[in-house]
Amino acid sequence: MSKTGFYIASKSYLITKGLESLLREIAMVEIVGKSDSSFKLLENILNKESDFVIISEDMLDPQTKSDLKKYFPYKNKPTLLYLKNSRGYEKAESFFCDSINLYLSKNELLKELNEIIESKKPAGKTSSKSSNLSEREKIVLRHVAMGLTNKEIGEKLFISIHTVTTHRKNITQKLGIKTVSGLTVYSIINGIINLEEVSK
Amino acid sequence: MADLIHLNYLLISVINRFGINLGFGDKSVQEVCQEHDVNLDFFLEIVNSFHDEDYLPEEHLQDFSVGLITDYLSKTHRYYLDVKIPELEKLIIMMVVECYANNKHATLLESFFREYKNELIAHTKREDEKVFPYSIATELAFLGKDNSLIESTAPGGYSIQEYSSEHDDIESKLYDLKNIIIKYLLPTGNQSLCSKVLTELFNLEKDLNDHSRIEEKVLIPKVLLMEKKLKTMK
Ligand SMILES: [Fe+2]
Ligand SMILES: [Fe+2]
Repeated sequence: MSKTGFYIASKSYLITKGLESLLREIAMVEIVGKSDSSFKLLENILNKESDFVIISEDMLDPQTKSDLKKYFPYKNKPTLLYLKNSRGYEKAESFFCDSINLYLSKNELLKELNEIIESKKPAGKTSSKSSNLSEREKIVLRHVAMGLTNKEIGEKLFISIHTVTTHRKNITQKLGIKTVSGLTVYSIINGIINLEEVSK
Repeated sequence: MADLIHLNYLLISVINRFGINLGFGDKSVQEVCQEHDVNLDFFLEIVNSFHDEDYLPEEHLQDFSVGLITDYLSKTHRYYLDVKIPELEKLIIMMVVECYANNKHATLLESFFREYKNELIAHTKREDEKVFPYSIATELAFLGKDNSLIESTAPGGYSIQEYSSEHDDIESKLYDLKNIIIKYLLPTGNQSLCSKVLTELFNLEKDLNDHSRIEEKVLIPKVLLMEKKLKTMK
Protein backbone atom coordinates (compact mmCIF):
# COMPACT_ATOMS: atom_id res chain seq x y z
CA MET A 1 0.00 0.00 0.00
CA SER A 2 1.29 3.46 -0.81
CA LYS A 3 1.95 6.18 1.73
CA THR A 4 -0.41 9.02 2.43
CA GLY A 5 1.21 12.28 1.40
CA PHE A 6 0.84 15.50 3.37
CA TYR A 7 1.62 19.05 2.35
CA ILE A 8 2.02 21.70 5.02
CA ALA A 9 1.23 25.32 4.32
CA SER A 10 1.88 27.76 7.13
CA LYS A 11 3.95 30.87 7.66
CA SER A 12 4.60 29.87 11.24
CA TYR A 13 7.87 28.06 11.91
CA LEU A 14 6.55 26.51 15.09
CA ILE A 15 3.39 25.20 13.49
CA THR A 16 5.28 23.71 10.55
CA LYS A 17 7.84 22.01 12.80
CA GLY A 18 5.13 20.81 15.15
CA LEU A 19 3.07 19.29 12.35
CA GLU A 20 6.13 17.65 10.84
CA SER A 21 7.07 15.89 14.00
CA LEU A 22 3.46 14.89 14.63
CA LEU A 23 2.95 13.45 11.16
CA ARG A 24 6.16 11.45 11.44
CA GLU A 25 4.56 9.50 14.24
CA ILE A 26 1.76 8.23 12.04
CA ALA A 27 2.44 5.06 10.10
CA MET A 28 2.44 5.19 6.31
CA VAL A 29 2.48 8.96 6.17
CA GLU A 30 5.06 11.13 4.44
CA ILE A 31 5.51 14.85 4.03
CA VAL A 32 5.73 15.63 0.34
CA GLY A 33 6.16 19.36 0.56
CA LYS A 34 5.69 22.54 2.53
CA SER A 35 5.40 26.22 1.95
CA ASP A 36 5.84 29.19 4.21
CA SER A 37 4.47 31.77 1.84
CA SER A 38 1.05 32.08 0.33
CA PHE A 39 2.50 33.30 -2.96
CA LYS A 40 1.42 30.88 -5.70
CA LEU A 41 0.24 28.47 -3.04
CA LEU A 42 -2.26 26.73 -5.34
CA GLU A 43 0.39 26.12 -7.95
CA ASN A 44 2.81 24.76 -5.39
CA ILE A 45 0.18 22.44 -3.97
CA LEU A 46 -0.83 21.09 -7.34
CA ASN A 47 2.80 20.52 -8.24
CA LYS A 48 3.24 18.02 -5.45
CA GLU A 49 1.37 14.76 -5.41
CA SER A 50 -0.21 14.97 -2.01
CA ASP A 51 -3.32 13.45 -0.48
CA PHE A 52 -3.84 16.11 2.16
CA VAL A 53 -2.87 19.72 2.49
CA ILE A 54 -2.94 21.34 5.90
CA ILE A 55 -3.38 25.09 5.62
CA SER A 56 -3.16 27.44 8.55
CA GLU A 57 -5.16 30.60 8.84
CA ASP A 58 -2.29 33.01 8.12
CA MET A 59 -2.06 31.72 4.54
CA LEU A 60 -5.54 32.72 3.57
CA ASP A 61 -5.16 36.12 1.95
CA PRO A 62 -7.87 37.12 -0.53
CA GLN A 63 -5.86 36.07 -3.60
CA THR A 64 -5.11 32.61 -2.23
CA LYS A 65 -8.71 32.15 -1.17
CA SER A 66 -10.03 32.91 -4.61
CA ASP A 67 -7.41 30.63 -6.20
CA LEU A 68 -8.35 27.75 -3.94
CA LYS A 69 -12.05 28.29 -4.46
CA LYS A 70 -11.69 27.59 -8.13
CA TYR A 71 -10.24 24.15 -7.56
CA PHE A 72 -11.72 22.84 -4.37
CA PRO A 73 -13.70 20.92 -3.33
CA TYR A 74 -14.48 19.89 -6.91
CA LYS A 75 -11.08 18.40 -7.36
CA ASN A 76 -11.14 15.31 -5.21
CA LYS A 77 -7.42 15.18 -4.55
CA PRO A 78 -5.75 16.53 -2.52
CA THR A 79 -8.08 17.15 0.38
CA LEU A 80 -7.66 20.51 2.09
CA LEU A 81 -7.61 20.58 5.88
CA TYR A 82 -8.01 23.79 7.83
CA LEU A 83 -5.80 24.31 10.84
CA LYS A 84 -8.00 26.50 12.92
CA ASN A 85 -6.89 28.87 15.56
CA SER A 86 -9.57 28.61 18.19
CA ARG A 87 -11.48 26.06 20.14
CA GLY A 88 -14.81 27.65 19.43
CA TYR A 89 -17.06 27.17 16.47
CA GLU A 90 -15.67 28.84 13.42
CA LYS A 91 -16.97 28.40 9.93
CA ALA A 92 -14.24 27.24 7.60
CA GLU A 93 -14.13 28.24 3.94
CA SER A 94 -16.07 25.91 1.67
CA PHE A 95 -12.96 24.57 -0.01
CA PHE A 96 -11.92 22.81 3.17
CA CYS A 97 -13.13 19.28 3.71
CA ASP A 98 -12.26 19.08 7.35
CA SER A 99 -10.49 21.01 10.04
CA ILE A 100 -8.14 20.35 12.92
CA ASN A 101 -7.66 22.48 15.94
CA LEU A 102 -4.31 24.01 16.75
CA TYR A 103 -4.88 23.76 20.48
CA LEU A 104 -5.61 20.06 20.76
CA SER A 105 -3.36 17.81 22.79
CA LYS A 106 -1.00 15.48 21.00
CA ASN A 107 -3.18 12.44 21.51
CA GLU A 108 -6.29 14.22 20.37
CA LEU A 109 -4.49 15.43 17.25
CA LEU A 110 -3.21 11.97 16.39
CA LYS A 111 -6.68 10.55 16.81
CA GLU A 112 -8.25 13.19 14.58
CA LEU A 113 -5.62 12.87 11.88
CA ASN A 114 -5.93 9.11 11.84
CA GLU A 115 -9.66 9.38 11.44
CA ILE A 116 -9.31 11.84 8.60
CA ILE A 117 -6.78 9.63 6.80
CA GLU A 118 -8.99 6.56 7.26
CA SER A 119 -12.10 8.31 5.98
CA LYS A 120 -10.41 9.29 2.73
CA LYS A 121 -9.07 5.91 1.76
CA PRO A 122 -10.54 4.77 -1.56
CA ALA A 123 -13.40 2.32 -1.51
CA GLY A 124 -12.44 -1.30 -1.36
CA LYS A 125 -9.20 -0.75 0.50
CA THR A 126 -10.75 -0.22 3.89
CA SER A 127 -13.72 -1.46 5.78
CA SER A 128 -17.23 -0.09 5.66
CA LYS A 129 -15.96 3.34 6.66
CA SER A 130 -15.67 4.42 3.06
CA SER A 131 -19.34 3.80 2.46
CA ASN A 132 -20.35 6.06 5.29
CA LEU A 133 -22.43 8.74 3.71
CA SER A 134 -22.89 12.09 5.35
CA GLU A 135 -26.40 13.01 6.46
CA ARG A 136 -26.69 15.41 3.56
CA GLU A 137 -25.61 12.76 1.07
CA LYS A 138 -28.15 10.35 2.50
CA ILE A 139 -30.91 12.87 1.94
CA VAL A 140 -29.80 13.44 -1.64
CA LEU A 141 -29.54 9.70 -2.19
CA ARG A 142 -33.06 9.25 -0.88
CA HIS A 143 -34.37 11.59 -3.51
CA VAL A 144 -32.29 10.05 -6.27
CA ALA A 145 -33.59 6.62 -5.35
CA MET A 146 -37.15 7.89 -5.52
CA GLY A 147 -36.48 8.89 -9.09
CA LEU A 148 -36.15 12.67 -8.79
CA THR A 149 -33.99 14.56 -11.25
CA ASN A 150 -31.08 16.70 -10.12
CA LYS A 151 -33.11 19.81 -10.80
CA GLU A 152 -36.03 18.61 -8.70
CA ILE A 153 -33.71 17.64 -5.87
CA GLY A 154 -32.07 21.05 -5.95
CA GLU A 155 -35.44 22.76 -5.73
CA LYS A 156 -36.58 20.57 -2.88
CA LEU A 157 -33.46 21.01 -0.80
CA PHE A 158 -32.81 24.63 -1.76
CA ILE A 159 -29.38 23.91 -3.18
CA SER A 160 -27.96 24.54 -6.64
CA ILE A 161 -27.91 21.84 -9.32
CA HIS A 162 -24.17 22.10 -9.15
CA THR A 163 -24.19 21.13 -5.48
CA VAL A 164 -26.53 18.23 -6.21
CA THR A 165 -24.14 16.97 -8.89
CA THR A 166 -21.22 17.21 -6.49
CA HIS A 167 -23.15 15.23 -3.89
CA ARG A 168 -24.05 12.63 -6.46
CA LYS A 169 -20.46 12.27 -7.59
CA ASN A 170 -19.37 11.74 -4.01
CA ILE A 171 -22.14 9.24 -3.37
CA THR A 172 -21.20 7.22 -6.44
CA GLN A 173 -17.56 7.30 -5.48
CA LYS A 174 -18.17 6.26 -1.90
CA LEU A 175 -20.62 3.48 -2.70
CA GLY A 176 -19.15 2.22 -5.96
CA ILE A 177 -22.57 2.43 -7.59
CA LYS A 178 -23.15 4.46 -10.73
CA THR A 179 -26.68 3.98 -11.99
CA VAL A 180 -29.96 5.23 -10.54
CA SER A 181 -31.41 1.72 -10.31
CA GLY A 182 -28.26 0.57 -8.56
CA LEU A 183 -28.58 3.40 -6.06
CA THR A 184 -32.22 2.48 -5.50
CA VAL A 185 -31.31 -1.11 -4.70
CA TYR A 186 -28.62 0.09 -2.31
CA SER A 187 -31.06 2.46 -0.60
CA ILE A 188 -33.64 -0.24 -0.06
CA ILE A 189 -31.12 -2.75 1.26
CA ASN A 190 -29.77 -0.17 3.68
CA GLY A 191 -33.10 1.16 4.82
CA ILE A 192 -32.63 4.63 3.35
CA ILE A 193 -35.97 4.23 1.62
CA ASN A 194 -38.49 1.43 1.73
CA LEU A 195 -39.95 -0.58 -1.07
CA GLU A 196 -43.40 0.99 -0.86
CA GLU A 197 -41.97 4.44 -1.43
CA VAL A 198 -40.37 3.40 -4.70
CA SER A 199 -43.27 1.54 -6.17
CA LYS A 200 -45.50 4.58 -5.77
CA MET B 1 -4.96 -23.41 -31.27
CA ALA B 2 -5.02 -25.44 -28.06
CA ASP B 3 -2.10 -23.37 -26.74
CA LEU B 4 -4.18 -20.27 -27.28
CA ILE B 5 -6.91 -21.57 -25.02
CA HIS B 6 -4.38 -22.61 -22.41
CA LEU B 7 -3.02 -19.10 -22.51
CA ASN B 8 -6.40 -17.56 -21.80
CA TYR B 9 -9.41 -19.75 -21.23
CA LEU B 10 -11.78 -16.80 -21.68
CA LEU B 11 -10.99 -17.08 -25.38
CA ILE B 12 -13.13 -20.23 -25.54
CA SER B 13 -16.19 -18.06 -25.87
CA VAL B 14 -14.51 -15.94 -28.55
CA ILE B 15 -13.62 -18.87 -30.78
CA ASN B 16 -17.18 -20.10 -30.42
CA ARG B 17 -18.39 -16.87 -31.94
CA PHE B 18 -16.35 -17.65 -35.01
CA GLY B 19 -18.09 -20.98 -35.25
CA ILE B 20 -15.02 -22.86 -34.13
CA ASN B 21 -15.72 -25.79 -31.84
CA LEU B 22 -13.45 -27.56 -29.42
CA GLY B 23 -11.69 -30.80 -30.26
CA PHE B 24 -9.21 -29.34 -32.71
CA GLY B 25 -6.37 -31.65 -31.65
CA ASP B 26 -2.94 -30.30 -32.44
CA LYS B 27 -3.99 -28.22 -35.40
CA SER B 28 -2.49 -24.75 -35.64
CA VAL B 29 -4.53 -21.60 -35.49
CA GLN B 30 -4.07 -21.20 -39.22
CA GLU B 31 -5.33 -24.71 -39.99
CA VAL B 32 -8.36 -24.38 -37.78
CA CYS B 33 -9.25 -21.01 -39.29
CA GLN B 34 -8.91 -22.39 -42.80
CA GLU B 35 -11.15 -25.30 -41.96
CA HIS B 36 -13.87 -23.04 -40.64
CA ASP B 37 -13.47 -20.46 -43.34
CA VAL B 38 -12.41 -17.80 -40.85
CA ASN B 39 -10.25 -14.86 -41.89
CA LEU B 40 -6.99 -15.61 -40.09
CA ASP B 41 -5.71 -12.04 -39.78
CA PHE B 42 -9.04 -10.81 -38.49
CA PHE B 43 -9.24 -13.68 -36.02
CA LEU B 44 -5.78 -12.89 -34.67
CA GLU B 45 -6.52 -9.19 -34.22
CA ILE B 46 -9.73 -9.95 -32.35
CA VAL B 47 -8.07 -12.53 -30.14
CA ASN B 48 -5.16 -10.23 -29.37
CA SER B 49 -7.36 -7.32 -28.48
CA PHE B 50 -9.49 -9.52 -26.26
CA HIS B 51 -6.54 -11.05 -24.52
CA ASP B 52 -4.57 -7.88 -23.92
CA GLU B 53 -6.44 -4.72 -23.07
CA ASP B 54 -3.40 -2.60 -23.81
CA TYR B 55 -3.03 -4.04 -27.27
CA LEU B 56 -4.37 -1.46 -29.65
CA PRO B 57 -5.70 -3.19 -32.69
CA GLU B 58 -7.72 -0.21 -33.83
CA GLU B 59 -5.56 0.60 -36.79
CA HIS B 60 -5.16 -2.96 -37.96
CA LEU B 61 -8.80 -3.78 -37.42
CA GLN B 62 -9.83 -0.85 -39.54
CA ASP B 63 -8.29 -2.60 -42.52
CA PHE B 64 -11.01 -5.20 -42.42
CA SER B 65 -14.34 -4.72 -44.09
CA VAL B 66 -17.34 -3.34 -42.24
CA GLY B 67 -19.14 -6.55 -43.13
CA LEU B 68 -16.56 -8.65 -41.32
CA ILE B 69 -16.50 -6.40 -38.27
CA THR B 70 -20.26 -6.09 -37.86
CA ASP B 71 -20.67 -9.79 -38.42
CA TYR B 72 -18.40 -10.44 -35.47
CA LEU B 73 -20.16 -7.82 -33.37
CA SER B 74 -23.57 -9.30 -34.16
CA LYS B 75 -22.39 -12.78 -33.31
CA THR B 76 -21.14 -11.41 -30.02
CA HIS B 77 -24.59 -9.93 -29.36
CA ARG B 78 -26.13 -13.34 -29.95
CA TYR B 79 -23.65 -14.87 -27.54
CA TYR B 80 -24.65 -12.37 -24.86
CA LEU B 81 -28.36 -12.73 -25.36
CA ASP B 82 -28.63 -16.43 -26.12
CA VAL B 83 -25.93 -17.79 -23.85
CA LYS B 84 -24.61 -15.47 -21.17
CA ILE B 85 -27.72 -13.61 -20.09
CA PRO B 86 -29.94 -16.69 -19.68
CA GLU B 87 -27.11 -18.40 -17.80
CA LEU B 88 -26.67 -15.48 -15.47
CA GLU B 89 -30.39 -15.06 -14.99
CA LYS B 90 -30.67 -18.64 -13.80
CA LEU B 91 -27.69 -18.24 -11.51
CA ILE B 92 -29.09 -15.08 -9.99
CA ILE B 93 -32.47 -16.62 -9.33
CA MET B 94 -30.68 -19.52 -7.66
CA MET B 95 -28.48 -17.15 -5.72
CA VAL B 96 -31.43 -15.24 -4.29
CA VAL B 97 -32.85 -18.46 -2.89
CA GLU B 98 -29.68 -20.21 -1.83
CA CYS B 99 -27.41 -17.39 -0.72
CA TYR B 100 -29.76 -14.84 0.75
CA ALA B 101 -32.64 -16.91 2.04
CA ASN B 102 -33.19 -14.63 5.02
CA ASN B 103 -32.90 -11.36 3.19
CA LYS B 104 -36.18 -10.04 1.95
CA HIS B 105 -34.43 -7.49 -0.22
CA ALA B 106 -32.46 -10.00 -2.25
CA THR B 107 -35.21 -10.38 -4.82
CA LEU B 108 -34.31 -6.86 -5.87
CA LEU B 109 -31.32 -8.44 -7.56
CA GLU B 110 -33.67 -10.32 -9.84
CA SER B 111 -35.60 -7.27 -10.92
CA PHE B 112 -32.40 -5.30 -11.27
CA PHE B 113 -30.96 -7.92 -13.55
CA ARG B 114 -34.17 -8.17 -15.58
CA GLU B 115 -34.06 -4.44 -16.09
CA TYR B 116 -30.50 -4.77 -17.26
CA LYS B 117 -31.42 -7.54 -19.63
CA ASN B 118 -34.10 -5.40 -21.27
CA GLU B 119 -31.63 -2.58 -21.65
CA LEU B 120 -29.14 -4.88 -23.31
CA ILE B 121 -31.79 -6.28 -25.64
CA ALA B 122 -32.81 -2.80 -26.75
CA HIS B 123 -29.22 -1.73 -27.15
CA THR B 124 -28.16 -4.65 -29.32
CA LYS B 125 -31.39 -4.56 -31.29
CA ARG B 126 -30.77 -1.00 -32.35
CA GLU B 127 -27.27 -1.88 -33.44
CA ASP B 128 -28.28 -5.03 -35.30
CA GLU B 129 -31.28 -3.50 -37.01
CA LYS B 130 -30.16 0.01 -37.69
CA VAL B 131 -26.52 0.83 -37.10
CA PHE B 132 -24.90 -2.23 -38.63
CA PRO B 133 -27.05 -2.36 -41.81
CA TYR B 134 -26.44 1.35 -42.30
CA SER B 135 -22.68 0.85 -41.85
CA ILE B 136 -22.63 -1.94 -44.40
CA ALA B 137 -24.66 0.14 -46.84
CA THR B 138 -22.25 3.03 -46.41
CA GLU B 139 -19.38 0.77 -47.26
CA LEU B 140 -21.11 -0.52 -50.37
CA ALA B 141 -21.78 3.02 -51.51
CA PHE B 142 -18.22 3.95 -50.75
CA LEU B 143 -16.89 1.10 -52.84
CA GLY B 144 -19.07 2.39 -55.65
CA LYS B 145 -21.21 -0.69 -55.74
CA ASP B 146 -24.62 0.39 -54.64
CA ASN B 147 -25.75 3.79 -53.47
CA SER B 148 -29.39 2.94 -53.02
CA LEU B 149 -28.96 0.86 -49.88
CA ILE B 150 -28.16 3.80 -47.63
CA GLU B 151 -31.57 5.30 -48.17
CA SER B 152 -33.35 2.01 -47.56
CA THR B 153 -31.46 1.12 -44.38
CA ALA B 154 -31.74 4.62 -42.98
CA PRO B 155 -34.77 6.37 -44.36
CA GLY B 156 -34.64 10.08 -43.75
CA GLY B 157 -30.89 10.08 -43.38
CA TYR B 158 -28.62 8.94 -40.61
CA SER B 159 -25.07 9.51 -39.59
CA ILE B 160 -22.76 7.33 -37.61
CA GLN B 161 -22.12 10.47 -35.59
CA GLU B 162 -25.61 10.14 -34.20
CA TYR B 163 -24.86 6.62 -33.05
CA SER B 164 -21.56 7.72 -31.62
CA SER B 165 -23.16 10.36 -29.43
CA GLU B 166 -26.02 8.15 -28.29
CA HIS B 167 -24.02 5.02 -27.75
CA ASP B 168 -24.69 4.48 -24.07
CA ASP B 169 -22.57 2.26 -21.97
CA ILE B 170 -23.96 -1.11 -21.09
CA GLU B 171 -21.39 -1.91 -18.44
CA SER B 172 -22.41 0.43 -15.61
CA LYS B 173 -25.29 -1.66 -14.39
CA LEU B 174 -23.13 -4.76 -14.26
CA TYR B 175 -20.55 -2.82 -12.31
CA ASP B 176 -23.25 -1.81 -9.83
CA LEU B 177 -24.57 -5.33 -9.54
CA LYS B 178 -21.10 -6.58 -8.74
CA ASN B 179 -20.62 -4.03 -6.01
CA ILE B 180 -24.00 -4.70 -4.47
CA ILE B 181 -23.09 -8.37 -4.20
CA ILE B 182 -19.52 -7.71 -3.09
CA LYS B 183 -20.18 -4.93 -0.62
CA TYR B 184 -23.76 -4.71 0.49
CA LEU B 185 -25.40 -8.10 0.81
CA LEU B 186 -24.43 -10.57 3.46
CA PRO B 187 -24.77 -14.11 2.12
CA THR B 188 -26.16 -16.56 4.63
CA GLY B 189 -25.96 -19.69 2.52
CA ASN B 190 -24.12 -21.15 -0.45
CA GLN B 191 -20.99 -18.98 -0.65
CA SER B 192 -19.54 -20.73 -3.66
CA LEU B 193 -22.58 -19.84 -5.71
CA CYS B 194 -21.96 -16.19 -4.91
CA SER B 195 -18.38 -16.46 -6.13
CA LYS B 196 -19.57 -18.15 -9.26
CA VAL B 197 -22.04 -15.38 -10.03
CA LEU B 198 -19.37 -12.77 -9.39
CA THR B 199 -16.85 -14.49 -11.62
CA GLU B 200 -19.43 -14.61 -14.38
CA LEU B 201 -20.23 -10.94 -13.92
CA PHE B 202 -16.58 -9.97 -14.07
CA ASN B 203 -16.09 -11.99 -17.23
CA LEU B 204 -19.15 -10.58 -18.94
CA GLU B 205 -18.13 -7.06 -18.03
CA LYS B 206 -14.71 -7.60 -19.54
CA ASP B 207 -16.26 -9.05 -22.66
CA LEU B 208 -18.65 -6.11 -23.00
CA ASN B 209 -15.80 -3.65 -22.55
CA ASP B 210 -13.90 -5.28 -25.36
CA HIS B 211 -17.01 -5.30 -27.53
CA SER B 212 -17.80 -1.63 -26.99
CA ARG B 213 -14.21 -0.78 -27.67
CA ILE B 214 -14.45 -2.34 -31.12
CA GLU B 215 -17.67 -0.46 -31.81
CA GLU B 216 -16.27 2.86 -30.71
CA LYS B 217 -12.66 2.69 -31.72
CA VAL B 218 -12.95 0.64 -34.90
CA LEU B 219 -16.40 0.71 -36.42
CA ILE B 220 -17.36 4.34 -35.79
CA PRO B 221 -14.12 5.94 -37.05
CA LYS B 222 -14.10 3.70 -40.09
CA VAL B 223 -17.65 4.53 -41.12
CA LEU B 224 -17.12 8.18 -40.27
CA LEU B 225 -14.20 8.35 -42.67
CA MET B 226 -16.25 6.76 -45.46
CA GLU B 227 -19.10 9.17 -44.83
CA LYS B 228 -16.71 12.10 -45.17
CA LYS B 229 -15.19 10.79 -48.38
CA LEU B 230 -18.62 10.05 -49.81
CA LYS B 231 -19.61 13.65 -49.21
CA THR B 232 -16.61 15.02 -51.06
CA MET B 233 -17.17 12.58 -53.93
CA LYS B 234 -20.63 13.97 -54.58
FE1 LIG C 1 -22.92 -3.95 -29.55
FE1 LIG D 1 -22.95 -1.09 -28.24
